[in-house]
Amino acid sequence: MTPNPARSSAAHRDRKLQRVRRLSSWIAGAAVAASLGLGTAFAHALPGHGQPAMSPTTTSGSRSGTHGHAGPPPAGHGGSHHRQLAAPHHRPAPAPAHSQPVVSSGGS
Amino acid sequence: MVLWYATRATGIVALVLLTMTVVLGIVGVSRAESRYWSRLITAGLHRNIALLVVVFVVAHVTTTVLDSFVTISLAAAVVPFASSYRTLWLSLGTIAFDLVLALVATSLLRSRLSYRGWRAVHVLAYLAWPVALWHGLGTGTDTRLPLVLAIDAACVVAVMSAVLWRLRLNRALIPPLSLTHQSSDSDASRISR
Repeated sequence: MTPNPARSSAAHRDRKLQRVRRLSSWIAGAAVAASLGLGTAFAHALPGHGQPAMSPTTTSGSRSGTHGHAGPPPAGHGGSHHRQLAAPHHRPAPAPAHSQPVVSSGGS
Repeated sequence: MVLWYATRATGIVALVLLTMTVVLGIVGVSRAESRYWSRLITAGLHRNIALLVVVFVVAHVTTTVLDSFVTISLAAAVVPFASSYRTLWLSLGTIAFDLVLALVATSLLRSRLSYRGWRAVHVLAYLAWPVALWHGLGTGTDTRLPLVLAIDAACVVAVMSAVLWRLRLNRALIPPLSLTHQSSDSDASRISR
């Protein structure tokens, strides 16, 4: 019995359409994965991400380079990159290494 | 912060998908096929990836609008020059998005349009792609990254290669114009050369 040419061409076409669907699914999945990967890459590659707050002088330089986005966010503040940076954290000046305790001789 | 990264990532992926759509469209017009790759697959992928482009551009626009750093209204996504933030560069993205929407809409309604009308809109794809690329180069704050530059360069090379291949194919298939009628044998021999 000879195969029905119409049926075989329909089956052939269905196989091609299945292949199209499979390839499209793969491409869609790859696109989603690429989006996630790129987002992660930007999070790590873009300057200043995750670093502690910088001094105002450094901040002004970085602002001009990043098209208006604020400088790097302070550590732990994920969404604060848009806000003005807090005043720089003033640390107490470390004691000089060679300072000697002042000893005053007691008066008589 | 997450929205900011998401908008950039989805924008770049949308550009890559748009590049694939354009390349498949050019290959499809040339009716190129082989034993393992038929025109049906090219046309099917071209259509499906074009729909993916719309999905990713919508995601790109949504994350941009939701990001609170700059106030970009939803209207600015479809109306050019409606945003005060980087008006020119953003408008290029808006124009590219409008063109892609027109392409997809006319293709979905192809049965109700004349071939000429559909084709007239579809040729705008050759405008949508460079406008989208230009938008990314101008608006993206991350275009200085080597990865992004490499992706943009790869997209340009892919489309240019497809266009050049298509032009070469055209020249090979179309016989030179002649005032005299030539026999079919001589035409065949010229094409096969």
